[in-house]
Amino acid sequence: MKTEIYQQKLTRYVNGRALPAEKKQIENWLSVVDKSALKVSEPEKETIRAEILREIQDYTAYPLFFPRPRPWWKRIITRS
Amino acid sequence: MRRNFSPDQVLVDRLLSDDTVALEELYDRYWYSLYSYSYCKLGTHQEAKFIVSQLFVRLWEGRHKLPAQFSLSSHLYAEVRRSVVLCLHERLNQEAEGVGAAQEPLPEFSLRELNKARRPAVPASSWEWVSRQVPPRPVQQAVPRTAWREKWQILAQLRYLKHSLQTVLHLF
Repeated sequence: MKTEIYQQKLTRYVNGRALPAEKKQIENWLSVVDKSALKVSEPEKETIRAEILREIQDYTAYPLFFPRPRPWWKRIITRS
Repeated sequence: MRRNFSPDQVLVDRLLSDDTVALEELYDRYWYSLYSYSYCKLGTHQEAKFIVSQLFVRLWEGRHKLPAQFSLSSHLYAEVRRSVVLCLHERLNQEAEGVGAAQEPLPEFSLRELNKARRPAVPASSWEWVSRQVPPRPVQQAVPRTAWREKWQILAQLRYLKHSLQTVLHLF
């Protein structure tokens, strides 16, 4: 299928003007998941997880606005 | 990593009180399935990462507007599908404008794959069962208008009972 046909179909779908057959076709495509496509090792997975989390933190800046309360044992260590 | 076994609804409620621990727990629960789905559909790590991060950014920023009976998993999966479609649409628009050079935008989004994905609403075995349950439609006999017949002859041909019509319609 050519790029133009894809584009027209998806444009109609995004704008809510797709024909029922087109809608079904796209939704079927969205429903099919090939789990074997993604193969990542555990260390890679952890790296990706940390990268995405850092990106979320950069966007929202939640560690700055809502810092975590320090655990009680850390507070004791600091006092002594 | 310390695990939190609270249900999603409890964690979503904790988001309302700006609990960042709850957000990170929800992120740990869902990030990989969302990421793998986006990667399978789009084929690039960059776009998959962007989609997942944006989902959680929107969740955090809209935490005070979440409805009462909010199902986080269905919300996230609906949003990731929407984001995949929008991302693919954006990519196709760029290619149509000549920004990208690839002719085939996405190997999986081909006619062959779409045909594979197409499936009947009712499985074939169910259709067979339905066709067995429904009796065959009786074929109606046409009565030619040109051939002159008595009314009872026509009705006999149509397999109506003479006396039932006599009583109901007073034809005779």
